[in-house]
Amino acid sequence: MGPGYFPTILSYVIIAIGLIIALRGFTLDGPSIERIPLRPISLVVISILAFGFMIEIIGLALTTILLTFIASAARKEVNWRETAILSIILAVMCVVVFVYGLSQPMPAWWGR
Amino acid sequence: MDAFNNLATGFAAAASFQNLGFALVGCLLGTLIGVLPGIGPIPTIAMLLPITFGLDPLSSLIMLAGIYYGAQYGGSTTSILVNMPGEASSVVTCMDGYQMARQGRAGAALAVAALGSFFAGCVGTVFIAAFGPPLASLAQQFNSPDYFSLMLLGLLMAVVLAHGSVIKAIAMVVVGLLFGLVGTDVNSGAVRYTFGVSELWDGIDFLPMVIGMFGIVEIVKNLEEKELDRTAISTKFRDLWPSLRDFKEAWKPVLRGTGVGAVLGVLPGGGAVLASFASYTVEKKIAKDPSRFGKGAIEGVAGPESANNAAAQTSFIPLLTLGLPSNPIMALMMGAMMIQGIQPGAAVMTSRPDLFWGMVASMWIGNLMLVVINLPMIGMWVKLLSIPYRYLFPAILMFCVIGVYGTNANSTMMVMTAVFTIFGYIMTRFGCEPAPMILGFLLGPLMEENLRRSLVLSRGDPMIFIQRPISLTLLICAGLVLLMIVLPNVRKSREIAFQEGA
Repeated sequence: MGPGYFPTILSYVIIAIGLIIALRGFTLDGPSIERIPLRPISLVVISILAFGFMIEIIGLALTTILLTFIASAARKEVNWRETAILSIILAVMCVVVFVYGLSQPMPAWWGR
Repeated sequence: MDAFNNLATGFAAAASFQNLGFALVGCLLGTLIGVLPGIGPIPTIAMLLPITFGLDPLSSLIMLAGIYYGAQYGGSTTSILVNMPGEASSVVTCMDGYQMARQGRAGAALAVAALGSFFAGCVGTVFIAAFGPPLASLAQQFNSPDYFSLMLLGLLMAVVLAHGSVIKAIAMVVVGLLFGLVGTDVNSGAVRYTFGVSELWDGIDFLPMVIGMFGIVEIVKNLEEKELDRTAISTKFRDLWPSLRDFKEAWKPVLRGTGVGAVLGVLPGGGAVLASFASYTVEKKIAKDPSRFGKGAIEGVAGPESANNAAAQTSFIPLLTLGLPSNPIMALMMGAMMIQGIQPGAAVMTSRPDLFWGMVASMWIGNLMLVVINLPMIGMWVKLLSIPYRYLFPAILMFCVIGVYGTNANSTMMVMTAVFTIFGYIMTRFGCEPAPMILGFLLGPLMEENLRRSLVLSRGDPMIFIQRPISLTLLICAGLVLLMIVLPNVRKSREIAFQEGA
């Protein structure tokens, strides 16, 4: 019973289930896989990564604005003026709540 | 009266100024997210987990529990007034609740839903107080093989009673178990599945996983759908009081719903959603005139609304006594306890009685708060509905990422979050619900530990699982559950039960 004992059992179970699902996929008729709309998922993921890599450099306030803009673009119709106002409100709120209120370990502004 | 003394201890702990405050915060948040479509209790609890780090364990559990049962109240409001369930457990309430509102009986529907929920919440609290201790003492006789079999049964039942394809759910559970094993093996010190990434030596972090797979995937799914028009049927506070006739028609369904909910909540895989569906089916079956259902029958509101609340309470029983999370929300609560260094299970009741009983007492207090929060302030909650999602989602996304980043300020955490967002999204697209995976993830290390310990005890003989009576009983139950999945007519009725509301 080494470190690989339980993982091996689990892996066999997954292989078995995978085979069953694959077999059913060939024999049963079902709806075809829908086209995945790439815009929402990709922009949301980009905004998460942008947050992670930018916050140390430009601080929470500016990162919030950046994230709001990228995420807002995930919708089809974007009203940029609305987004700008929203991003500023959010930035103020996040800095007040998380940096000053809950003293989370992140810089509020550039270089600090 | 031991239970009485215990409850008194609990009330003393829960009624401290700080804990009352956190109960109120939890209830308010729960109602808020219950009202708002597009964000449910799972992402909210996931989002708030990081904030609970700095709190006292009891306070954080009180707040998180408040969110769960608060959401049951808030969800009914939108179902009745807007025909849009804010919460999965309120889907059935739409059918008759909204019809009642269109007939000008919105007030009665809302009041019956709130009062029924309150009653169910009280009964649920008593239920926990009564059944918690005996179950916990039973659990103390459990040995490693018994725990292993219990977890096997729990995971299987959680899968059968959940939505969606059973086989895919089992696959997700096993994937979750495997994810749970990533990192350094405690017994041998061997490093597993890290692919040379040193951040994975301590295992996969819980937060990036749940926030990515629940919080953020939910946002992406909502963004793909068109924003719906949300106009509410207006109600005034003075219209809220139901008539005597309403009361007469509603009290029996409330009782039955409470019973159904309390029992289904305890079962692994049960919980608020299943309970509300089951209660609606029961009410429709025993009604003298089933054709009234869907046209504004008050039973169709009273039963399910009581049932979902009762189940929301009693689903804490397996977690607090056996250490077994019965649904994803309980898995998150388990995560919250483990973050605080508390291993959920029978030991909690003896080592931290204030924690167990304080939580039970806080649920009753919270339910009382919710009636007050919901009924007089209904107008305010309905106004919130007019906030369009395009203003909400950047804020939700921001809270998600800050939550992850705040616990461990490095970009690796954000990369993990992104990876699990993509993974969760693809899985959802392929019809594999991510919820069972979380159960597996949390139970993976525990299952492995108990499996190994059993096999060490028996010197490698797997018969040990059959020789112990408790383990054998649990395994037989697990076998029956598996049989149920295979039998076609059981499967059919399960599908029908879930379609009833869809």
